[in-house]
Amino acid sequence: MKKIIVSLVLSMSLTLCVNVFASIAVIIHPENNNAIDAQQIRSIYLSKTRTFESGDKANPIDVKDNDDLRDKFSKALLRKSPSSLNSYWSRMIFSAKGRPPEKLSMSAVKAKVASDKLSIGYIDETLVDDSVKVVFRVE
Amino acid sequence: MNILCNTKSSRLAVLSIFSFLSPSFAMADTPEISVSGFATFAYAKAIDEDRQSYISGYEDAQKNQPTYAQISGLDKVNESGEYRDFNKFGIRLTADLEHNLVLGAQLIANGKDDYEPVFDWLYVQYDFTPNVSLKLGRTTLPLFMYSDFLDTTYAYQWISAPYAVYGPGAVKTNEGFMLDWKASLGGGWTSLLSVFGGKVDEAVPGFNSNFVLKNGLGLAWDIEYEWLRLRVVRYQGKSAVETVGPMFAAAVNKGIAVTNAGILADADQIELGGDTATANHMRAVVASNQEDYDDSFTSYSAMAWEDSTAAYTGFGLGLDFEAVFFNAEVTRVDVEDTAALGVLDSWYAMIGYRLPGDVSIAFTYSENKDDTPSYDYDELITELSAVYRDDILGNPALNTAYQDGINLTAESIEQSINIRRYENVDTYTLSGRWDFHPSSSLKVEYLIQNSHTLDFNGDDVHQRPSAYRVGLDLVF
Repeated sequence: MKKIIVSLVLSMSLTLCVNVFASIAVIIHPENNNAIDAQQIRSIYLSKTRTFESGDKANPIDVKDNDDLRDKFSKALLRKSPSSLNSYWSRMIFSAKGRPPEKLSMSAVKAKVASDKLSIGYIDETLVDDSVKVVFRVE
Repeated sequence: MNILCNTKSSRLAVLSIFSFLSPSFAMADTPEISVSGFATFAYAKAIDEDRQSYISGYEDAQKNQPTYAQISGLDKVNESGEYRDFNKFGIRLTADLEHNLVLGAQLIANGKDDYEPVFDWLYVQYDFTPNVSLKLGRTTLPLFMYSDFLDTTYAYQWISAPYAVYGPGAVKTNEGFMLDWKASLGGGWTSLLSVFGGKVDEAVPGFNSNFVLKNGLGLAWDIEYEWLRLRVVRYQGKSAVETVGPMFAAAVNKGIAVTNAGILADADQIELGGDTATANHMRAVVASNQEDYDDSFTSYSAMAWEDSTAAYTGFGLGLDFEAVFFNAEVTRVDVEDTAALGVLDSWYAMIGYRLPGDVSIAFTYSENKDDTPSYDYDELITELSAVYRDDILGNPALNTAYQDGINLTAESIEQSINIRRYENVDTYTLSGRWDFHPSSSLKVEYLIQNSHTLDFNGDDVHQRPSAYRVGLDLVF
């Protein structure tokens, strides 16, 4: 029993460490040729614009199963703490100006981006493979 | 856990509910319904009411006539504590009907209205492009920076936004259209341009009948760059108010009572002199006096008006450097040629600091100033005299007998205007917010007000009420 508890604690600690120090990769479909910088990512994720540079509608996807990754993304790219971001979305939703991105698990984000040419997502960089294209990294 | 990821989105078979929009259109069998909501529970208590009983006379009317001090955000609070008036609950439903069509509705129940729910949003939206959308129906006017989400107090620092800007003269609900155009301007700059218009017809604090604004047309432009937000708005239309309040009616009625008593006494004398026909006619005039007054004052711009241009102008600035944040707005409400609203100039500035642990503190200074030009009371007396002259068969000899009544009526109306006016009101607010839960925040506020209002005679009344408030906001 004690071994189980110890290994559970260890595995949780490792998971936390991985989450805290993971690099984030912002990903799009490999056939999406839009040039995307940090400012555009921010605009799309905050619903300040709903299109890529090409004019095509962008479908941003948020991560729901990794609070650390999401908070890191919010602070680094959206420049908002989790509570500031919640206040921001309250303002947008109740003034009917926009809605927050759909939230999926990290694996579902990757699968969605790999299958949808207009999706944009972010995942732990270690999960990146040829099915998606990395357009920005957050160390 | 991010609260807003809890927004319920589900594909529900609600064809039966929404099929009226397009009965022959089979796509609506699985619209995506999103449900969001908010609630506020707040307690407020005056530390020092400092409320002088400067209203004398018209006791019955006084009970129903909110003065500026009584309707302001702070002075609603008294020393026995307010448990209900700042409470509210709202629920928002959005149905994505696909093919660029969205149906939205929001119900809100306010404590101050006994939690009676009302629709403050009910619209259909069509997206011409991902960045250009048109809403038709009932929406909230984006007058100032917080106007279109004012009830969602979770979205901002205070328990209620500064009354200086969001109180006097502000209108809320528009029946008409709103066109939103989002754009990326390059280099990190983004723009949101809103063009809106239609009709406003709603109760305004302190007014006895609705404030109506027809043919309204407005433009609000927000531009943002990372830490910077700039905003400009202009909205105007033709406004009308049938009658402002019971104090005004009491003033008129008091004048009428005195004047009518004079007419009846004279009629008795004339009848004793043998001219029964004239006496009876004068009595008939008394009977119809009330209607004449009502007709006369319906269009009188001192306390009731129609077709006056109402214009709202605002400039906003927001800075957010993560730890330090700053917000300021300068606004003007100008209802042309009216004494009851007139020209209201307001501004506030708020500076805040975010501490570790999702705690933020802020200091806000706000001021509102009544810049309405002085009203011409001689014009009022002239108009009143003309009404009387018509009433008494054009007999100039009788006019002097009723001059007391005319003067009293004019004086009463002047007093009823004065009592609504203020010179300027400064409010200092120290506020703290703690986001102790992903879906909730706890707020405390301490407010001191420094107000200069007018008494019946137009003399300055200085008050310094203070209060504290505690609020709990939730969103889902």
